[in-house]
Amino acid sequence: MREVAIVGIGMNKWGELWDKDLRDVFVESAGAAIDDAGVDHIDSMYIGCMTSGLFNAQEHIGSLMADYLGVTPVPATRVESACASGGCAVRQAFIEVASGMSDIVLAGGVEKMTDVSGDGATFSLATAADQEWECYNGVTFPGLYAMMARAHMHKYGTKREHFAQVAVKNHANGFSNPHAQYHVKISVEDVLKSAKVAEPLNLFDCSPITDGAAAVILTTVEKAKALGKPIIKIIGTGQATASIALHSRDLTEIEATRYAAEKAYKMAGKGPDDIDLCEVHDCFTIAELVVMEELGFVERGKSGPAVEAGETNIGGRIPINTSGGLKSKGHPVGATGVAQIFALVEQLRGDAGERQVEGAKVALAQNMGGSGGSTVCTILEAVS
Amino acid sequence: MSFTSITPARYARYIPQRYRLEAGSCSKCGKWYFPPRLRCKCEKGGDCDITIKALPDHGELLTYTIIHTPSSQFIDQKPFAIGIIELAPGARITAQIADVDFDELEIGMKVRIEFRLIQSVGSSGVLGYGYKVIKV
Repeated sequence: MREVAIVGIGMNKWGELWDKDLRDVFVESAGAAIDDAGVDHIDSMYIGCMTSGLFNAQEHIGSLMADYLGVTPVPATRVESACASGGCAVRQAFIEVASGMSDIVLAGGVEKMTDVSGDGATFSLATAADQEWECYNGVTFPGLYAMMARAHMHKYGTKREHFAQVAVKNHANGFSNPHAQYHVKISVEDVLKSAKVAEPLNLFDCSPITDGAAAVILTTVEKAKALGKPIIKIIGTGQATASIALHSRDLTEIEATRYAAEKAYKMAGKGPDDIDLCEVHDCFTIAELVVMEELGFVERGKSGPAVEAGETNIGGRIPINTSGGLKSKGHPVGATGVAQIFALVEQLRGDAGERQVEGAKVALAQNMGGSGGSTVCTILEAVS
Repeated sequence: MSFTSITPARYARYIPQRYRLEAGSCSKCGKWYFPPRLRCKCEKGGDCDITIKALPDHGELLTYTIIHTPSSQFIDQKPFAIGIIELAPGARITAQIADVDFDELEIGMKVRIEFRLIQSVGSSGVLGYGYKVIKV
């Protein structure tokens, strides 16, 4: 297997981009990644996208994006694993370069979610759950995570305020991220007073509806050196599945994350203590807590107190979601996993400005589909 | 949205589960599956033998939430309680908890299945039936 590095990153400003089309949103970010890498061509591309069919009534977007990016006839493949689609696209691009099949591959992600109404978006996102045995009976995505939150509180004594503290931290981090959807700091009280969505979760426990895209360029370490770019290597990748129905799994665990992390750690020869910072899939505040436990940063049941103690703040023991996470940066579902890699490369290059984690060398991204039915973990290392 | 339409094929296919709670049970390892599966992730390995059995109609509430922002086909029912219920070891369902005062909800609550109207969908308002639970 060849060593693989990320040499280009691109991401547009996320938000409600009403004046932009699905393809424009993607091409802005993909073009920026190609420009950043300084490459004169790409050999192929992967696009993470959960459901352009439901959000935009548009499928076949591999070729659509290749056409508007101006790179036809290169192969372009759409990758779908619900909200983990972006992470899967990065992993597929990694495998293609590592295998020797291609030298320069673009991995992108896109979702344009504001072309449908609010309840239409709720319906579309819920297709990541089990349509016949969960959704038919009326459960929503916030509802599934709310049931995990309730079970976690019952089993471990996690407090309602702990969930709120995750949102407060991520909004504080996203405040200075120019790509983030929201630039607003919030308090625990703001979260507790926000509208009820699925009890015990309120509006400010939930990631928003977002239009956005992100892209990265992968190549061999050898080519990266020739391009004169900082060498940010992908040293570990792991992917895992589990039942997509929450009721078929342990209600306070996310086993697919545990298995994906084990594989990525093993491949990288690293463990939780070696990770300098982490981007995790905080689609709901409870998700960040459970994921911290599955990645081995804290003991089971201790994630809430760790957040409360500031351990996951910038400057803390293990900074999490320095980009603002899904909560503040936004969550265009198919783009999220790629944007996590964008955020970590920015940190490992030392380009994160006010949000910079000093001396960051090794970083982990955890991107999750549905209520935990799939996960991709990616470990990056800066090589001087 | 038209995607949620309950077509005759879809409706008829799930009658055994939605009307009669037909589940699968592996005769080797005893594992329950609802809905029944074609293949068992059998701890005994080798050929497994899944037979159809009705789930018990009583169970225990493992977790719950109250939904305030439902999908389009449930808008007129909000807010409503929904939870995960264990009916037999390993056999769990996600179902609405009907006729309940939200203050009474608690993990460990004993519930019983009832046959109820679940949703009405599409421009013609086709009615979809199935299971909900009530407190016992």
